[in-house]
Amino acid sequence: MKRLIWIILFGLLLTSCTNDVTSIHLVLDNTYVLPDDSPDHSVVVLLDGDATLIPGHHFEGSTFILAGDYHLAGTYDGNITVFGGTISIADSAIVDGIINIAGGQVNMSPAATITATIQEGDVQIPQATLSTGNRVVDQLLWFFIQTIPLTLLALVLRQWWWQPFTTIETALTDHALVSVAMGILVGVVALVLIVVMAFTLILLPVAMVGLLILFLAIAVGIIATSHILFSILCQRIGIQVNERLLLITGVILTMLLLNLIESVPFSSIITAPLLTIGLGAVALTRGGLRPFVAAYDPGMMMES
Amino acid sequence: MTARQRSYRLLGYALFIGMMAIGYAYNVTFIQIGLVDVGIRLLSLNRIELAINMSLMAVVTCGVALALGYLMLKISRLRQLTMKLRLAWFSVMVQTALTALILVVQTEMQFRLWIIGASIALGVGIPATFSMAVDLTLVRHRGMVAAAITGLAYFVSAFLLTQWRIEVFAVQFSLIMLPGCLGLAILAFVPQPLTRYWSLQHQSSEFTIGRLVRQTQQDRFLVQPQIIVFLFLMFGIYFIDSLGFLRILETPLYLNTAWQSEEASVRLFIAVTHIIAAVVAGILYQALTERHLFLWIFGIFALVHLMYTMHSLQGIDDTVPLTLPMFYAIAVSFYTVVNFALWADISTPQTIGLMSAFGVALSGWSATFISTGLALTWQQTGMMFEQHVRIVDSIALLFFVGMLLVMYLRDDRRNQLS
Repeated sequence: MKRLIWIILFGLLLTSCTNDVTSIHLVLDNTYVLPDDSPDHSVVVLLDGDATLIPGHHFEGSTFILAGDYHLAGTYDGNITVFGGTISIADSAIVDGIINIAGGQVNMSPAATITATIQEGDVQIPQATLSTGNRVVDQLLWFFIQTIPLTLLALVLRQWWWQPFTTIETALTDHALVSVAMGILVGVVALVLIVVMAFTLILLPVAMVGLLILFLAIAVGIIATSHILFSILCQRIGIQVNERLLLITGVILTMLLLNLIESVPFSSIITAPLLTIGLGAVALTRGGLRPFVAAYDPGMMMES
Repeated sequence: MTARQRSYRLLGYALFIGMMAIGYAYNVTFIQIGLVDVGIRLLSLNRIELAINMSLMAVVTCGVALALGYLMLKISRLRQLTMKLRLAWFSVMVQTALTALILVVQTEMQFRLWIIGASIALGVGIPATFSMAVDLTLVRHRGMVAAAITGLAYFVSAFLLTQWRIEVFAVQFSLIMLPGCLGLAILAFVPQPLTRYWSLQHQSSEFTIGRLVRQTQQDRFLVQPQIIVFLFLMFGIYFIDSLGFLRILETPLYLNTAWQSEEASVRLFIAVTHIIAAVVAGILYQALTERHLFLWIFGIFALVHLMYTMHSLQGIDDTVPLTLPMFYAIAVSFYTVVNFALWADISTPQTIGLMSAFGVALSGWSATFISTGLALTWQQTGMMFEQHVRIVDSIALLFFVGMLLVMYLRDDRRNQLS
């Protein structure tokens, strides 16, 4: 039943690409004629084949052209983004809005009425930059931006997710090698899957949720790894530390270490296993909800 | 265990890994790619004629392997390590001779005779070599042994064998196989303590009771009924791989920017990806259940074919991201590791000959060549690349969803029972 709810939620998520989208036309092949006076904000995604807005017809919305041919001869109001394929704007066309040309081919008739803004070159993705001009201050800022949320997450885990968290830690300590292997696999596959989903545009919200889950899993993995490492360190030097303090100090020291070694050549030899081992343990235990038991234990033979 | 015994055991591992890796590299390059080159470029056969010859190869190899596997089940003498070494030597010796002779082939009839000869040798080689797993490798190391075989085989195929032309393959493999043939002859025919030690190893349960074998109270070893499921799933994997890969290889854009790239760094990247993926798969083989392993394999195959479909749909430029061949390498390495460990792990020393014949020949070999034939036929009939890859993707996705559904239903039933 739980799985069914997940599937339904997943499906519902697909329908919520943006708030104001009223319909989506996904053109994969053949010829598609856009309906006249489509609802207020429709989205057309052209992946192949032809899409046509015939003379006299009116369309309001957004169009993304990845491949195929888009023939515009009617009245168009909205954004057109061209990544690939061909867009032909005929004499009879009236186009208003923004035309983003990031690739592909655009054929505009001189007789067409185009009041739209035309932007050429790569589609600009807004970037958040954080730079004060001072390298040390920048690094410190970056360190705090990474560490503070992780520390808060560690406290949340301690308060509300402690049992599953210890399950993750058990998998991590008992099956370190398996955790690394699983972490590599999950990391690589998840990243590519997210990019592929994002590229389809329609699955962009799912990709965003996926990315969030991946980041969360990596973060929980880092916290678990740092907690174990710092616990071992404390045991070795014979210090008794409160559990919360142990978690927080572990995270801070690990992040400090990661930031310090960042500029060292081949530092990924240390950072990659540190990131993947935790991710793998999270994946193996499904976020700590199930203890991980290796399928094959050489010490035990299964009795039928 | 003494130092000498330890070194003997290590030599056994080295023999098994080396023999299987070279054998596999030979099959995925010389047989799968080289014979297509001979048929189309040298003999000017059309793709349907070539497909018929490849199907003949699948049928003969399969028949011989199953026949020998059955004989190994029934005749205990054939299960002795010395006999397996002799059979392996026969297979390698015939293959070495045929490899050198391939350039003499000038007509379709000669090509067909060559194929029949090679199929007999391969059919003998499959149960003989795969069954050595119970003599030479500990059960707990099978995942990593399979990883070493896979990594080595693909490193040789992807990085060292730079030109995929039959003339080059013939020279390279003759040079590799000749010393192997001589070494196997010494091991097979000259009595020595090394082979005596190896031949006794299978008496220990650490070597013989595979992780998927159940032990009854009467100490009789029975193979799980899931063998049929494994055969079906491995057939599906091989089918998907060959059906898709052959078409990718026939598309210069994808071949020349990856496996046949002029830049050594690209080929090295693919080869290293194979090794890393094989190690990861080797570790996970021991840790995950069979269902999860197959789910990952089908999932990665579905994803990689989706990536190729999407890339071909864009049709914008002539650049191909390295993530495409990288993912293909991951998928291929993953299932190859499972293939090298699985058949030994569902078998006992008595059944391994037949099980490996079933697994490798019936499931892997026949699937490879049926799909090769199908891929060639589709290409001959003018099917577009996108359509071809999309069908392969659909099959992979079907298996993936099927596996998910089976897992869901089993969990559901288990929950209901509890």
